[in-house]
Amino acid sequence: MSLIGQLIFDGLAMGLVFVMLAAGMVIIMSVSRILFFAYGMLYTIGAYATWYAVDRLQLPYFVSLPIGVLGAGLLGMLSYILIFQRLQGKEGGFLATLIASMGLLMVLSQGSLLVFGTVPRSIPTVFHGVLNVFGITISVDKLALIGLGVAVTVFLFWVYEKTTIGRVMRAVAFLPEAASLQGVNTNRIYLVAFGIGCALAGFAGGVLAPSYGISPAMGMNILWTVLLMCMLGGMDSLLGAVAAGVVIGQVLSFGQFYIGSTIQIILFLVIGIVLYFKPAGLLGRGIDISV
Amino acid sequence: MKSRRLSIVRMLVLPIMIVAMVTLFFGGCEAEGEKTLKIGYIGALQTAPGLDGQRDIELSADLDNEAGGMVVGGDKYNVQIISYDSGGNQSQAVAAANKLIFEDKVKFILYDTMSVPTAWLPIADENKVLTAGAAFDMSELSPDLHYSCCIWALHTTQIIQTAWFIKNRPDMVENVVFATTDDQVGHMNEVVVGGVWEQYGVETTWIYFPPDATDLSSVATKVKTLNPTAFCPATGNPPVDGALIKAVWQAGCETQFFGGGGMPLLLMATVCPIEALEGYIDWAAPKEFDPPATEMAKDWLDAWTAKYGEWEGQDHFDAMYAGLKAAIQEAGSLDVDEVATAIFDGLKFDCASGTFQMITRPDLGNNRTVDSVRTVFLKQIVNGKAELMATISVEEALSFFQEIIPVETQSASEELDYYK
Repeated sequence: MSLIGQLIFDGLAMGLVFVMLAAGMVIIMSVSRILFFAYGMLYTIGAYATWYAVDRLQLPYFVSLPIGVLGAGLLGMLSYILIFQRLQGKEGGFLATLIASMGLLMVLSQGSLLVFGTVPRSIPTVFHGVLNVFGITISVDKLALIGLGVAVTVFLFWVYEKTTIGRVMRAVAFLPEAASLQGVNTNRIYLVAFGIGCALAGFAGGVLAPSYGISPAMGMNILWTVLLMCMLGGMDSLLGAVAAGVVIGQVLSFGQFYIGSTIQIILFLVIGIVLYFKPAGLLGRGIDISV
Repeated sequence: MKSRRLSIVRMLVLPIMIVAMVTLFFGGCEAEGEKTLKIGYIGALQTAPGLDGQRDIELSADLDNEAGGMVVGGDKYNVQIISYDSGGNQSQAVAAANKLIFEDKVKFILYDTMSVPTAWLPIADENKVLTAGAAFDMSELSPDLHYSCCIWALHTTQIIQTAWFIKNRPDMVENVVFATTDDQVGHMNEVVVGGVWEQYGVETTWIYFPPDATDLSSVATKVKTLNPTAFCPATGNPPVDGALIKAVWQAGCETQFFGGGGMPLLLMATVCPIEALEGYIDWAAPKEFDPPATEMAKDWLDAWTAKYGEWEGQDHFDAMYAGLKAAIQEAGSLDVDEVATAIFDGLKFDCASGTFQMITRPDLGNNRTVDSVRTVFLKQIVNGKAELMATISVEEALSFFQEIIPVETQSASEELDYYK
């Protein structure tokens, strides 16, 4: 029983801590319809910026974290203004933005290596200790991350559903032309979506760094997990990202234990089957993309 | 008054002109007469090993140049390192090799493990360019390549460490569990390292996980249920190895942690709490100890710090350059055949990373001394610091290795005929 409980907790840790990253991706993807591959690097940059503030500027962690969030958010907005705004809406725009986001990924990846160096970095753990509950070993930092992941998603859900900016973002996500005819400045909403999404990536980088460390490759590693979560849950559904996080986490936890790394192939197969029957993902409405 | 002004001008200008002319004349002669040795470097410069390799090789060249140049057969050569980015992919690595061979006309190329050497080593070999580096699949040791070698003991050190463990720490080796990534590096590790344990009659359990996994909780739970006497993270990637130890430690698994990649404590501790690393055993570069384990390592660390700032656990590639330099100096010539003969005639050299001895690899069908063994410094983490646990001299290392593979320190005599 304790083994099953342990695997369930491990699965929650694996899935839910990355939900905040998936939520940011969902916001960018659903509102702007840009498959933003450079997203993983914003996560990396958020983590490095937080580390820089903690380690080099000797600032307290909770002061440094907003610096990482702000840095990633501003960089995301800047990239939208300088690159994506110019490509969006044009013929072949989706492919152009896709290629541009890959290019940006390469530039940011090499740039961060040159700026922050090749050495992995770390931020001292904020939450210490390990709990033992009914034979299940629970590290306090992961417990905090799960709680934070859920809290951030609930907050985002509230913003998205209950506030004016959230309603406008949903309107633009649903029918940008109609929203534009109603007087909504869609470019500004895309910019806001990029800002919020990338700030979330920076936030995730800052809060996950004490548990998982910081390395130049961390953004690339996480990107595929996040994309899988978004695809399974639905590219336009925050709730879907949470559901997908739980499902993927549990499948990986139990699968890794009983089958080994082959579970990844099975996971892709399961996602493929789900997408065959529900192309928009578990809880998504579907996004129209004109290539 | 006018003539006095003129004489002052003459007094000032004339000496300046004379000095300038003399400087230009003799300086120009010196520049013309200065000999340059071009050494190529191919590295995946967007990765830590690629950049660290470039830094170490450039530092080695700087040290030689500051000392007046590398002495070869009585002449001094200014060493010029020409680096190209392999991008870690086949096409870019081949392009880099082609540039070095055909445009820059280098005779010697050093490279890192990430630069897909399998793709371009045959080109270098065909054009008689001597290459020194290492490939994960050991393809650089193929008997079909006549100008290729591994000077820095990448493939042999973990094997020697394993043999030492089995003889000196029998308590550790009853139930050994490894965890690694499900990729080429991971599977090569199981074949090579697992094979050595097996040869000594010790069965090992290997756990594989996806290379892009960030959270390793379920791997740790699996390790804990196996209740090992020793656990080794074997990804060859310091942050991932550190994360594995952290996860297993957090899962409450009480076992002996050890490594096989020579990961500096500074790197492991960036991911893993230092208390989790207490008792951890691995081989180490001599510069990792405080004070460094050898005088050469101390000098190297000082030079590194002066050029790049604080050493933060960056990887160590000084042996690549040092081995090539030793071979060139032993040959007393830049002739590729003569340098190759020096390497394949059982070269032995000292550098900041220890003493290195070239060996044959009959198990790979190669009876030239294309591979190497080294002095192995073993560290254990005690009170949060790397302590020297044992030093395995290059001779002991060789005899440990010979228990597993019957290698020699001299090439078969007919093998060297090729270079005459």
